[in-house]
Amino acid sequence: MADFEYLSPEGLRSDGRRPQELRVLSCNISHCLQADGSAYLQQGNTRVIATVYGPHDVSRRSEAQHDKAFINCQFSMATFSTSERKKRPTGDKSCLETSLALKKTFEAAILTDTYPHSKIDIFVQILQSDGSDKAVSINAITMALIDAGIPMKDYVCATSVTLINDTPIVDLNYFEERGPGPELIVGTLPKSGKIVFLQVNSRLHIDNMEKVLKEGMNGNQRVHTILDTLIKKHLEKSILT
Amino acid sequence: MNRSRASAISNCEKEFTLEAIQERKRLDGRSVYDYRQVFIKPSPVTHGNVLVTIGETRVQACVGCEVVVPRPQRPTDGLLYFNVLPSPMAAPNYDIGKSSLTMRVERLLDRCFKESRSLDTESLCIIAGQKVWSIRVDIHILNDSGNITDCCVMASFCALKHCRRPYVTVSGEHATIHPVSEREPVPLNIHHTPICITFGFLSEGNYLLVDPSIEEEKVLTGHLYIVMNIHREICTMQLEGVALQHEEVVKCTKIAMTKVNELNKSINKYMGIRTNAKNMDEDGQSILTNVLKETTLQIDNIQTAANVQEDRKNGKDIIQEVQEDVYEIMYPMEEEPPVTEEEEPPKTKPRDKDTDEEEEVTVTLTKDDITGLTSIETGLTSNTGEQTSVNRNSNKETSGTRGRKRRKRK
Amino acid sequence: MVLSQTKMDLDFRLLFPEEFIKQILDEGYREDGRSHNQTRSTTLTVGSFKSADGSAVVRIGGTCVACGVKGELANPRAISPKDGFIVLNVEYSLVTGSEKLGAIGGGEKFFSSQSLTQIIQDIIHSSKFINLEHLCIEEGKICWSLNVDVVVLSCDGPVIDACVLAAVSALKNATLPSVEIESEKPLVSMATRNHLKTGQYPLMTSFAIHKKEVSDTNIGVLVDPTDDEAQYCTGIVCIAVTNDQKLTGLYKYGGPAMTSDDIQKCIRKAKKQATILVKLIDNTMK
Repeated sequence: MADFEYLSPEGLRSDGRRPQELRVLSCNISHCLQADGSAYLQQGNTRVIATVYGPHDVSRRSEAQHDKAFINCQFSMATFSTSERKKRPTGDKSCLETSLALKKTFEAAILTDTYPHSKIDIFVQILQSDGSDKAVSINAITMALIDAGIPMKDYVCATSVTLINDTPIVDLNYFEERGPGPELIVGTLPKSGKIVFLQVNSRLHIDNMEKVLKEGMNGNQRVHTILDTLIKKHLEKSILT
Repeated sequence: MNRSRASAISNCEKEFTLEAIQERKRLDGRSVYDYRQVFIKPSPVTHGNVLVTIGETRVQACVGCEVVVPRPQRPTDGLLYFNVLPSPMAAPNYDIGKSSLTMRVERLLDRCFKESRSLDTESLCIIAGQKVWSIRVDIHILNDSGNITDCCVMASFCALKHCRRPYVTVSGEHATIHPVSEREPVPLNIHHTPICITFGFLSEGNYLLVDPSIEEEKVLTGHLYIVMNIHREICTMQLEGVALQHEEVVKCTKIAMTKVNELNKSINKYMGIRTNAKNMDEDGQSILTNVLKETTLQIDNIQTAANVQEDRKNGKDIIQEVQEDVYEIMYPMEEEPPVTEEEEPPKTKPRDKDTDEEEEVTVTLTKDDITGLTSIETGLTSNTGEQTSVNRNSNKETSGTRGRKRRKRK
Repeated sequence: MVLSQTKMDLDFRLLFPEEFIKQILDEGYREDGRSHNQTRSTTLTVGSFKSADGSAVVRIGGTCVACGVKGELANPRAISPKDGFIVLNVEYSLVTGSEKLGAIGGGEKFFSSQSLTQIIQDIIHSSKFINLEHLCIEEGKICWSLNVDVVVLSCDGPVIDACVLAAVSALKNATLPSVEIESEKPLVSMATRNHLKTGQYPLMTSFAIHKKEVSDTNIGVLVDPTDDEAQYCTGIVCIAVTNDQKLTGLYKYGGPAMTSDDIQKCIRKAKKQATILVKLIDNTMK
C-alpha cells in the first residue's frame, strides 16, 4: 500500500514504536488448573493461550520412543481471531505446518531424554491475531512449559523481523507483516545464542540477511529478559500464597 | 511418513554412518557439499510434464491449467495449487494419501512460488472477477532416495517453466480461449528461479551435509531448507530440529548460493533455456520441432557423459538407453526401436538445416536402424575428433531424411 | 480450595479421587466449601477481541469460555426471504485437552461440542432473543449472517452455563456496520456501527443429580457442579430462564428419576440465579 507509511521520516512506525521496540508483553501463568502448565500471553493485540499436558503415557504404541519423549504440538486459531472470519480453526495446511514447525523447535529445546516412553502434549490457541502469531506462540509455549516444570535447555524466545527502507523492524503487527518487506521469524535459546526456529517468507537478499538476523536475535534477548522477570514474579506470588 | 512402518536403522549402520560423517566422508564417496547427479527430462510430448532425478530420487511433476471463477476476495488473482502425491512404491514407509511429509513440502512450495511471487498470480487473470487461470501442479514422488524436498521444488519449477497455457484474446467482457491447433500456447509468467538446497545436521549442528541420501537422512537430527534464486535472494528458509549459531546459518546461505548457481546451470541445460536465444514458441515453430530440439540436447548430454565414463563397455548400451528413454513415453519398452516410415513434415526441413549447423550435430547416414546403430557405435567407440552422428529423429525413423542428411556428414 | 488441609486428606484425594468425592458428597458437603445450592463466582468481560464484531469472555470458577460474533453478508433463503441467519458453533479448544475423549471438537462427560451447539442454537432461536427479520437488509436479496463462535478455553464441569452467557453477552455487545443498497450492490460503511436489537435473553443454570444408593428416595442436587462432582454424578438438568423470569428451556439427561417437586426446586433456583446474572450483564454492558 503506497499510502500506508510503515516508517515515518522521523523513524517511527505506524503505532508509534521505534524500529527495535517490542510491543507491550503481559503474561498470566497457571490460569488453567486442569493443565499441567498453562500460559496466556499478550503481545500488543496478539493474544495466545498455551497449555501443556505431560509428561504422561503415550496414547498409541507407535508414539513410544525408547530413548526420548514424544512431543505432540497442535496449533489452532479461533475463528474470530482474524479480521476475516477463519472458516477452519484447525486442520488446514498452514495450521498443520505451524504445528509441525513448533514441534520440531521444542524437540530441540526440551530435554526429551529425561522422559523416555512418554508423551508431552503442547496445545496453542490464538484468540486474537495481530501479527507475529508464530513468534508469540513460541513465547507462550515456553512459559507454559516452565509452568509445567518440564526441563529445557533454555527459554525459547522468538520475534519477527522485517526490512523496510533498509531498517530492520522488530515485532511486527498485522500490517507490517503483510507489508512489502521480507518477513523473518527467528527463535533462539538466549544464553547460548543458538537459533532453534528460523523461517523466512518472501524475498530476502542474502546481503541483508545477516543484519536482519542480528536484529531478530537482539529482540529475542529483550523478550528473554521480560519473560524471566515475569516468571520470577509469578513464583514469588505463588510461594507467598 | 507413517512412523510405525518407518524402516528402522540398525545401531551399527547408524554408528558407521555417523563416524564416516565425522571424518568428512560420505557413504557414496561425495564430498560434504556435493550434489548427486541431477537429471531433468521434460516430456517431449506434453507441455508441463517434467521428470527430475537427483541421484536415485525421482519426482515427476505435471502442470494443468483450467479457467475458473476467481475467489471473491481476490478478483484479479489467479489460483495456484500444489499437490504432492507420494506413491507407495517410493519407499516402504509411504502411504497413499497425505502425511506430514507431503504437507510440509506443499507448504514449502506455496512459500517458494506464491508468497515469493515467483509466479505472478495477477498475470493469470483473464477478466477480473469472472475468469482466471487456475494452475495446478501435481507432484508424484516415484522414488525416495533422500532429499525429496529439493527434487520436488526443482520438478515444480521445471514443470511450470515447461508449461504452456492456451492463448487467450480478451475483447471487452468477452474472452476467447484459442485451442492449441489455432494458436501456439504461451508460457507462464515466471519472474525468478527458486531452487531449494537442503542441509542436514548431525549431533547438535556440529556436522553438516548437503543433499542427504536416504541412509544419511535416517541419522540426521535436523534440517535447514534454503530456497534461493540466482539474484541472491532468499525466497524462503526453514530450520527445524537443531539449534545453530547464527554464523553457521549465514555460512549455509553462502554455500547455498554457490549450489543454486550450479543447479541453475543444470536446469538451463536440460530445459533448453538459452540466455541469448529467443523463446522457442515465439519462433512459431511447431511443437514437434521443439520436441526434437529437446531430445537432441538430452542426447548431447548423455553423449558427453558417455565420453567421460571410460568404464562403459560399449556405446551400444548408451544409445539403446537413450532411445529407450525417449521412447518410453510414446512406445512400450522394446529391444530395438521400431522402424517407421513416416515422413517429417516438409516445412520443418529447412529449419532443421539451420539449427543443425548451430548445434553442430549432424544427422545419420544409414538406411535402416540396425546398420544405423552399428555406425553410431563405431562413431563413439573410436572416440576420434570426428563429429559423432546421432539420429536426431530418434523417435521417428525416416528413410527420406536420412538420404538428405547423408550429404551433411562431416 | 480444598475442604480439609491435612496431608492425609490430600494424599487420599490424589490416590482415590472418586472415592474422595463420593464420601464428601454423601455427607452433604462439597469440595470447595460451597453449599449444594451455591454457584461459583462469575466474571464477565465484553468487547475484548477487536477482530470480532462482538465478543465476550466468561469465567465461572475454573471454566473459561470465549465467544466471538462476526457478521457476513449473505443471500436469504427462498422460503424465508425476510430472515437473516444466526449460525452458532461451539467447540472445545485444543488447550482444554478434551480431545482425548475422542469426540470431534472435543467434549466432556455430559456434553460434546456438537450437542452443545445444537442445544444453544435451539435456545437462542426459540427464546426469540434476536428477531431474524432485523437482520434483513433487503428482502430476498441481502441479509446479515451472524457467525457466533463459542470456544471453551478451560473446562471445569459442564460448561453449558458459561457458553450460553458468553453467546448472549457477545450478541448484546455486537455492533454491525450500516449497509445501503446502491444499484443492486451493497455499500458497507464502516464508520457507523449499530448494536443489534435484542429482546429477552435466556440464561442457563445446570444441576448435577446423584443418588447415594439406588434404593434411596432422596436425590442430591448440586448447583453448578465442578468437573470432579460431575464425574461422580450420573445425570444433569439444565434449566434456561429468560431475564424476565420465564422458563424457556428444560433439559434432563440421564440420572435418577426426579419428582415434580425436585424439578420445581431447580426452577426456583434457576430463576434466582438468572436475576443475579441479569445484574451482572447490565453492569458489564455499561
